[in-house]
Amino acid sequence: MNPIENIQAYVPTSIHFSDLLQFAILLLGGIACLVFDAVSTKEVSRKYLPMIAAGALVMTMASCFFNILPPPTETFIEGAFRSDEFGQLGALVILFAFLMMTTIMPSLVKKRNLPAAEVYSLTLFAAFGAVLLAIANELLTAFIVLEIMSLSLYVLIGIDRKNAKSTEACFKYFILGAFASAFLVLGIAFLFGATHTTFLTEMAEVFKAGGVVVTEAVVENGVTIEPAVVQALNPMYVFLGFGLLFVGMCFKLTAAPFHMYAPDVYEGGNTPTVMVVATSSKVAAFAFLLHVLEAMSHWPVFTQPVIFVVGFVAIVSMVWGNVAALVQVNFKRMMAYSSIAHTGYMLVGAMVYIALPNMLEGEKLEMAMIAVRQAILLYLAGYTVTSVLSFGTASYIDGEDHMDAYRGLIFRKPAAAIGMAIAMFSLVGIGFTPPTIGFMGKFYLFKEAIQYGFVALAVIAVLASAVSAWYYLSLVVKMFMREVDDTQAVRLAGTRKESVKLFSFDSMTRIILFASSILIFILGVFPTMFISLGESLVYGFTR
Amino acid sequence: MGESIFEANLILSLFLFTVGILGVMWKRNAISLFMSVELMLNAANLAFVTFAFQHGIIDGGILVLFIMTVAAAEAGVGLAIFIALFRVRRHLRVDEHDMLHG
Repeated sequence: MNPIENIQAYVPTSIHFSDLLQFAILLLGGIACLVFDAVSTKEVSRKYLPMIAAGALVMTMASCFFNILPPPTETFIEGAFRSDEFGQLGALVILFAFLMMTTIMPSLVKKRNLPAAEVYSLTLFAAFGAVLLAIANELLTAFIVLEIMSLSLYVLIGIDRKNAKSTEACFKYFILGAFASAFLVLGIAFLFGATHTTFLTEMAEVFKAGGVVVTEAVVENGVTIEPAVVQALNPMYVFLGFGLLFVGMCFKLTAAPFHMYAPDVYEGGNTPTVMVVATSSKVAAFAFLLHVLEAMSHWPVFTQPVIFVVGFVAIVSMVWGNVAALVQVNFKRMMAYSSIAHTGYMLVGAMVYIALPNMLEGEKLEMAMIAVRQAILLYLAGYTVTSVLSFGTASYIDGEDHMDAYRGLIFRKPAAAIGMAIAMFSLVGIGFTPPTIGFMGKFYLFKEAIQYGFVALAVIAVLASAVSAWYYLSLVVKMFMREVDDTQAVRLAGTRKESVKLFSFDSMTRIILFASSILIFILGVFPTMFISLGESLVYGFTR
Repeated sequence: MGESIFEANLILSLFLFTVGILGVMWKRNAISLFMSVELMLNAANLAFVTFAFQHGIIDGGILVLFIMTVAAAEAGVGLAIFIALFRVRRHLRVDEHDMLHG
């Protein structure tokens, strides 16, 4: 039959681009950077472009505090987007890391002679892709914004193109990223084939009904299908589709069997970009994965096998990430393995999320899902703030990435050493670090896991975090030790002499680093503050 | 068109995808690697078109256009990266790009 016959006149009904206005600021800022660079000299654009970029990011962050996005019950832009906690609170978390990146970049641009326009515009484009990915409700939209984010980040990783290491990291990141995208696209294709739609909300309806509900008579393959007949889902297509999509997302999240590029990319890439790759892109990709899982979790057939698969990936990530991090001598490689382990902890939350629809019903289910989403978002926020602090400090003290370079840092740069120590304690997140966000994030996440019967997994997660204490704290010990001798092979970190002006970007970096150390404690002591902020933003007490 | 042509198309699509995966694993030149990735994307496009025809939903055919556009953008960035890599190292043999390892 000819599909063209089925087309009816298309009338757009619900496109209000004003819904996305707050995120369009990022896009406009990026274009402004390019235009400004075209009409000004190198020095001028180096000076003012970071201001444009930071201004756009700050404006978007500020607008996240207002209830601009529609509530989670509604989709917008023809159903392409749907905002829940990840729309506003998640965007804040994502943009925080990008803001930090913008403040560190000016010194790097100057030192390595990087092209300013490309750096800042790509940063803003990546931010645009990341915030939209976190609220995407349509699979193809998600793919496109994911590519906007990823392509910008590939280039930013290798922006220092005369540096062989960074170019190699860029190449590896690009090839494996494109490889992962192909998996994602084929996964989307099979999900489309099974459910006849690419909209997650419609897909959820299909999974609830257990098949595609035919509303008007259609002729398919020569057979007339009567209205109101449920066409059963083809489980093979669904599982193939989900499997491929999950593999693609595991690459983006650096979950364990698909993590092999992460250490190389983290080591070779420039530190500010790596910071964003480790935090923002992960938050956005995780939000998307969670939305897909949410749509599919209403199908009872789906639950058991997928819990098994996600649990397996979570356990492998936690165990392998933490064990491999033990033997690393490079700070950024260690952080790469640590971020693999943290992905594992997050996936524990995702697993609980899939299991919920088969355990609870109605109002209770709604509440439980919101609680799990909040726990995961709290964890992501904690991980982002902590990583911003550790990577920010690492690029701020400007030394080699070898762990020995951190020896005796407390005597050269006391503030930086204390900041790094706070970050490390928060990353450990169990045992003796209660007042930090790292502890609270893990506490809420594992509490949800235990509440819904995943005790064994929670125990593995806690044991894995106990292992992680060894390598995080050994760095702290190194920083607080006296320097042993001066004839070391590595240049010690924090030996750079610099004069800091009051209103320069260097001082802004310091302010954000200081703010993140404070945030780690504030969120650690009052995690409910963060959660209630999310509730008032998303569920609209003022709307 | 009968049922069988759709299944045959899907099998062809999965076959092309597998060829792409094997290419990424076995090929040792950056350009060939990237060609394999493009093959995988096109396999996905084939699956999309097949499903669009099978269900009579035009969406699938339109999605392909978007995916091709994204693939073109990816190719643009990718070739630029290869040129940068070639300028630094004077070759594109991926096995010998091993400065980063732990």
